[in-house]
Amino acid sequence: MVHLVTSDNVEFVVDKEVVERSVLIKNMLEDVGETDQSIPLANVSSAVLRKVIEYCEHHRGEPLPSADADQNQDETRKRTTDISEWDQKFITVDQEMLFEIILAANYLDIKSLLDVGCKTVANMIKGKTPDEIRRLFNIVNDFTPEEEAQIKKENEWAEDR
Amino acid sequence: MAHEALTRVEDLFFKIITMAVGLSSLPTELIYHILLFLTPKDICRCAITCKIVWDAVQNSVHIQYKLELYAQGLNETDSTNANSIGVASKMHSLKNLASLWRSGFHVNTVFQDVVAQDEQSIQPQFVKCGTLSVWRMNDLLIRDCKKKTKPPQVWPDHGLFKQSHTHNLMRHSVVVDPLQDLVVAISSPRALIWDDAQQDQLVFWVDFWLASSQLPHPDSACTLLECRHTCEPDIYAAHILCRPAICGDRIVVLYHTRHRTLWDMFTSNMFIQVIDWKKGHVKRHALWEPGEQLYTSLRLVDKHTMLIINSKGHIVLYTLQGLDGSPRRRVTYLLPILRLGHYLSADSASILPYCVVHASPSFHGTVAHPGLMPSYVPSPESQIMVLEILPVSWPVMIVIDMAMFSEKAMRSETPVEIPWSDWGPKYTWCFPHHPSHRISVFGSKMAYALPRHRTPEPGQRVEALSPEGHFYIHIWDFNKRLVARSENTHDSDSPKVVIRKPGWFAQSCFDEDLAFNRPYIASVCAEPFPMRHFDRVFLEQDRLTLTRLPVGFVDIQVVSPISMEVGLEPERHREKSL
Repeated sequence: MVHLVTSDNVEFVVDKEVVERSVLIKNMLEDVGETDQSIPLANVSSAVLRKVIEYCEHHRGEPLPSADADQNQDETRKRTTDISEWDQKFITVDQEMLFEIILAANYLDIKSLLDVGCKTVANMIKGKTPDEIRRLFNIVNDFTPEEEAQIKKENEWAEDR
Repeated sequence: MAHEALTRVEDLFFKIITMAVGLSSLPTELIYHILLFLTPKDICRCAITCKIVWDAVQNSVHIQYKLELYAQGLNETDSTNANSIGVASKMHSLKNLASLWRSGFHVNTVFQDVVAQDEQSIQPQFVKCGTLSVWRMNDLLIRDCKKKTKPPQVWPDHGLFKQSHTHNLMRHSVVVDPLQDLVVAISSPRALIWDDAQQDQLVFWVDFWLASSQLPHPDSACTLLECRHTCEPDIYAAHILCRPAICGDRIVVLYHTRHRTLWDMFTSNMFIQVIDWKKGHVKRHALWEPGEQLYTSLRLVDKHTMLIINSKGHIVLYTLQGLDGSPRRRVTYLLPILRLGHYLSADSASILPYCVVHASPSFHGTVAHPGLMPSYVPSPESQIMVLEILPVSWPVMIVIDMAMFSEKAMRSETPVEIPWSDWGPKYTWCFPHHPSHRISVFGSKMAYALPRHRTPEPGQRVEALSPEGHFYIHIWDFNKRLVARSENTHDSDSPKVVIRKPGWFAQSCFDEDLAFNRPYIASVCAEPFPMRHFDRVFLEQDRLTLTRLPVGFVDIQVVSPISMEVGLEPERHREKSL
């Protein structure tokens, strides 16, 4: 069993097999060896860690993506935004939690969870106009009108004409 | 009390901080990660929301590479060892690819060979992946146009058709697909006599060979497939109407049958045989098209989309559904009505206007030959198809954006006819044309042989190539995304682009004025080529193959473009052809 302490000082006791889906913790445990000392996770709140553990519990035992999976292969291949049914349900959370999960997955180095989060955001963006995207994520348009006109022109080519 | 207030403030403060977690507050690497799940169109829309996302898009070489591929209308192929190559060098090769065939390009001869042949009438079929194939009625010539050391392959007739010893060949057809190292040879008996109308009878034999070694193709379930047909008794013959189309493991053969009574001869409607050559399956289907058509072309847009272009000026789109590829007629696109008086003549059918179709040979083969496949192939939605409409006077060339045959069109449930006015101006470019001008299409580009280095203005009549003169190779690129990007962005890395518009022309074979404002990119080779014995051109991604046919020979010359920016002195000296 592994003891984890969140940023808001809540302790979680989790199966080693479950928690090792996090490459960060896996490496940490390998370095430290068997220990009863709790691991502090200063960047993760208890609410988020609860979700992350739920995810890891569900996917326990599945093979981890190999650590040396080539980045190129990953980045430039055609990537699908399909999400499995369970993951879809799991990630149906408010936006704040969604981004928190993405940040936590990135920090804890859980690639599959990071992908689920990012795919969800991508699916939210799909087919929307820039204005709709801004509204959706509360993005402030910080371009000057001239700059905006220029970059709009430069990016128009990608639209179907 | 004071303590409570403090907690509330703390709460509020905490809330503000956590609320600030959002798309634009993510670390840049996570913004990349999200963007890479998006289509190029969505990436561009996201990029203009705010500076943080804009910077992320500008600074990620992976995103830039994805956008560049999309802009050029290319797909990366799986056969390349793409994963071992860094994205920066892939980007570099893409940019190089984009700079080929740009304004005022020069060429360099990279291959030249002369192959002797004794047939009088030969027709090179095409060059694909640098492999020229020539069907010469009695044998097949395959020449690899890359290695001088590799001798050309000549297949004798009896080697291609297993049945030719026992049956007289009435008509046969041979197609080569170098992408799959495949030769398809179709033969049929001279006359088919049906005595039992209920029974399936054999109409064609299809052989599948390895193009490189004259051995049966190892991927095919059977080397020899029999296509069968059921119809009226007393059938006379089955006629293949045009060269069969190959797309991956699917082959489609278009044919009709004739049968004779004491007084007359009847022609059936068209049929197709849909062949899965790897599994050895074949299925016959009837089409709605009347069989008696002089010039019919068959194209596979992809494995499930078939086009039939007939001499009446109809482009009929069928979808091939299910595993057996049962055809469903979806949309008919009508060309404008031909001008009366210019072509109508009662005495001869040969005066009928006919249509020649040019399009790049299909690149949708799922299993490609790794040694032959280029790293990038045109994506299905960025390709063009060119129709030459050739009546006696005022011939026209119509460039069709293949995006027209997209999924949207295929979803139409009942067959519809779309008049020219509804699709022409939106999806085509039209030019005055002359039949002596040679055309070759690759992806969104078209090579065009013209007598002058300046393109004639739209509406101006184009003159014929003179037999003893010279011609210039023009490359026109109709990729609309590339045009739109070149119009609006000034990329210092990429060479100058000349954008033209076809405009308006009144004198054409059609009964209406043609006006077009869709732009295209034009460039022309700086040096002329001699016209003597010139037969045709074949355009590919990074090379152009010219064939000349002096009596008794096939003279092959492969040239590749050298862009001006590279600064290489073009090789002025070109070996004199025969």
